[in-house]
Amino acid sequence: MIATAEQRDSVGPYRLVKAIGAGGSARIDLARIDRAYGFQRHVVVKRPLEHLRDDTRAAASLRREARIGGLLRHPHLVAVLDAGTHDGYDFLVLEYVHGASLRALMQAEAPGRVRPVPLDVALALVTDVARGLHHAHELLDEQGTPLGLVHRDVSPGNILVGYDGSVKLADFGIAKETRVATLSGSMHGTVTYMAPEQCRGHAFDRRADVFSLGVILYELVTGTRLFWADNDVASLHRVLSGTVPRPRKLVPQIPPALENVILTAVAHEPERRFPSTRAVADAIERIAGDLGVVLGARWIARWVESVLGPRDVPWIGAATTPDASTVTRGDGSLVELISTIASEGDDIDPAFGPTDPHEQTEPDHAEAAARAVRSRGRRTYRRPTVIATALVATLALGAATFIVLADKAPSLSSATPISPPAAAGQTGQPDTGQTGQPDTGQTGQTETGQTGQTGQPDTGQPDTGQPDTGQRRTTKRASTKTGRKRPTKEAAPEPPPPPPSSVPAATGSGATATKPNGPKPKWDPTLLLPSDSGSGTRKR
Amino acid sequence: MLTRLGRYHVDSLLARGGMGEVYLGRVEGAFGFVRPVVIKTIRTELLADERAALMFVDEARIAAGLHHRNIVQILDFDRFEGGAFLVTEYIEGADLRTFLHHLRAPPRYDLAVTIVSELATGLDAAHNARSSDGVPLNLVHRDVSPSNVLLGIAGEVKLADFGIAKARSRSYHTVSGSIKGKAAYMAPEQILGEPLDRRADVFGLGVLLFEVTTRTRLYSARSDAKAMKLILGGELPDPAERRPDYPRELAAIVRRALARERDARYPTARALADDLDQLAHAQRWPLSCHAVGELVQQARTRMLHGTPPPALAGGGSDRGFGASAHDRSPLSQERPQ
Repeated sequence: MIATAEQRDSVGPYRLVKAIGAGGSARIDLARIDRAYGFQRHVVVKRPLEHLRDDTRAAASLRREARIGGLLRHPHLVAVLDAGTHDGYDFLVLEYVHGASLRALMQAEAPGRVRPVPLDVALALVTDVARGLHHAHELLDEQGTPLGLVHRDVSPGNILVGYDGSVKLADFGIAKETRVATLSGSMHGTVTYMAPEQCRGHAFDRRADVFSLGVILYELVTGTRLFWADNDVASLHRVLSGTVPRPRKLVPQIPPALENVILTAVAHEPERRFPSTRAVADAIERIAGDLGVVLGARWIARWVESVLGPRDVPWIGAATTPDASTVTRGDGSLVELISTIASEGDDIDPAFGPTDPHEQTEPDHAEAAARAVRSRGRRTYRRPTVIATALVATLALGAATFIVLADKAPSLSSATPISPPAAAGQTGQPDTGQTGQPDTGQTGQTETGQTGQTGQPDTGQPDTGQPDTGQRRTTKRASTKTGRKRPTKEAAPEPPPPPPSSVPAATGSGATATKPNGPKPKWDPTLLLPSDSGSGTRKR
Repeated sequence: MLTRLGRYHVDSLLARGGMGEVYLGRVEGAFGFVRPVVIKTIRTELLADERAALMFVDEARIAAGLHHRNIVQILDFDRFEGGAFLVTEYIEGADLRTFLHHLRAPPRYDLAVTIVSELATGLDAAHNARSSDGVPLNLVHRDVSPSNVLLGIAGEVKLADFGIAKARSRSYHTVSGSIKGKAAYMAPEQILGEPLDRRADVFGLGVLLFEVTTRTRLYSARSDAKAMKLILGGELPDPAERRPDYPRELAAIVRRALARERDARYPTARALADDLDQLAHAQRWPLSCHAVGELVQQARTRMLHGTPPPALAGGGSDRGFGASAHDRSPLSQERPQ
């Protein structure tokens, strides 16, 4: 039998270390190069999902990302390091960033809320993304002609924030070259961050990204999701309504100048917005200067650590033998997936369960199908856990088990004139370490060896915003075995630890013997996968 | 000249050093992917016996595990018939030495402090690095000097050549001149050949801080021997003599980083960075990497257009980076009071 993509243990020179998951239309693996004298370098390998191998759109997306990836060199853009084809599989190699997605970091337990973010951190984050975006917007091709690139999906799920304070925008897979086509045939992107003209399918330019960035800034400084609603249609309606509650109404301490920046960025008509994201960054830096707020990556780094807790890169303390046959798949953006690597060092399985439906809005069936995912067992030393595929982002982030250490909270609050009000239900979090944060699907990651079962409807966790009050990790790896228990998760019964024996042969060719095999995952019915897309079963 | 090393295309020679050559190259992938890289070759002699090779690779290997935005990323390592080569990311910009050389006035304090604070952050991450078994590696860079600091036009501030310094010191006797010019950045205990810990790098950061903020060399030494002597016994210069408006708090930080007794220094690079951050807060300095990038762009433009750097034009003063201050560029002078 010829191995399928999931079963191969290397792609080109890149040895697959650990499957991290899948998002959109691609699967993501932590991988490494092995050289003489024991030299190793870890990277991330991105490939189309198995069932999309012959999908021309998925292929075109990856190839476009490869082509422009070499040109998109900027500290605030996730670097593309290589691109290739291996046995007919296209692949992309990305830099590994140790951290989490902004979506994971913003996660609050209450629906429609985001975690209060210190003002200096919020401003620095948005400024960084704005600088990276501007670089992309200004990109020229090899002949020096402007590409007119628009990212189209600037959302917290696509922003990776590292423990080192780096802020990187990812996933130019659906970036559009406006000089090539000005109309989008179908809606891409994340609806709650999408510009109205984009939602309507009208022509758009970089100012659509300005809008998305403005929404993120709005949410970070107000602690409130701007276009959040119970469902996509309602969110869409809110975007198109052109109504934006004034930030100062929500948080009176917001300086008027900052409010102006936000409202300008999210203006309904593109011509009333900032003409570029650089203008946004400049405006924010000016305000920060006036307020005496110091914007530095080290503040971001401290904030990340205070939210996520200290954490090693995944290969420290991990088994050195790669176990490439293990696959965990799930939903989520690329960044979400990359970022979940961060959690792996904790020996907690990340979940990429269906994320916030409001954030997964591509109506494209192929991509929706891609999100319905199938998971297989992971490393053998792990206890299998059962997935709690949450319907809501608050539960499905997967990237991390949050832990707020009060004494590690950013010590710069004195320099932070604005303290967004804590959402209901969030108060007191930091003191207890019970952050009320999603015990993210991380602990609820599917550990099944099921194949082709991806159409299973999710009956778990339909309750949006339900805080998982499950036990928190209070230390790192040492306690993760117990930390993975989620006693209060009613829809996600703790799985029986012993690995079930019913590993389907088709997926188990690599590591059948010890692969844990928990209960089948349950999936959101709206994310049904075509029956043949349990791609791991496909024999080639 | 080489045109190919492994899968990498070699485009041009950037530098030739004691260890080998440094090339600008590129990696080409499928679908039109092209990305520039820097390739450093290591001479066969240095890899002649397995032990020497392992010594060199040992720390390069460790450095490859340092995923940090303030550390130049090592992307690959491989062998070729003439030795071995390391592939690192390419940063469009200049090294700190060249940068200072092409500035016409000392950089604004906030920019200078940003650079050193960023470097300290990267160094601290390296100092805390652990092996894959979780054992602290006690990594020491040993060569925190301006030529090992890369500044990018997009605001990158990165420390380069982890692991190289140690290998270089081991091959000191075989590769002559490899230590030249580096002595001025050595901690006293390093000169004395004592066992080193991270505080040796803190000293190096102190020298950098002094030099970046004043754009003058710490000690005006014409020889390495003299530089060593000054480090071991000379009086620590007062930065305010080089730049009259030098903030007192900043001078205190410099003094502590440069304490001759390592116990009197900052115990960690992070402690130094924390003090710099606090000072930035107190002074309302923005700590903007983006602004650093703009200044790098200015220096780079001047460099590429062949404008003679002031230091060279002035006949090469001992103070190295050029001491005249005629430039009125907004980023390289103090903000209006």
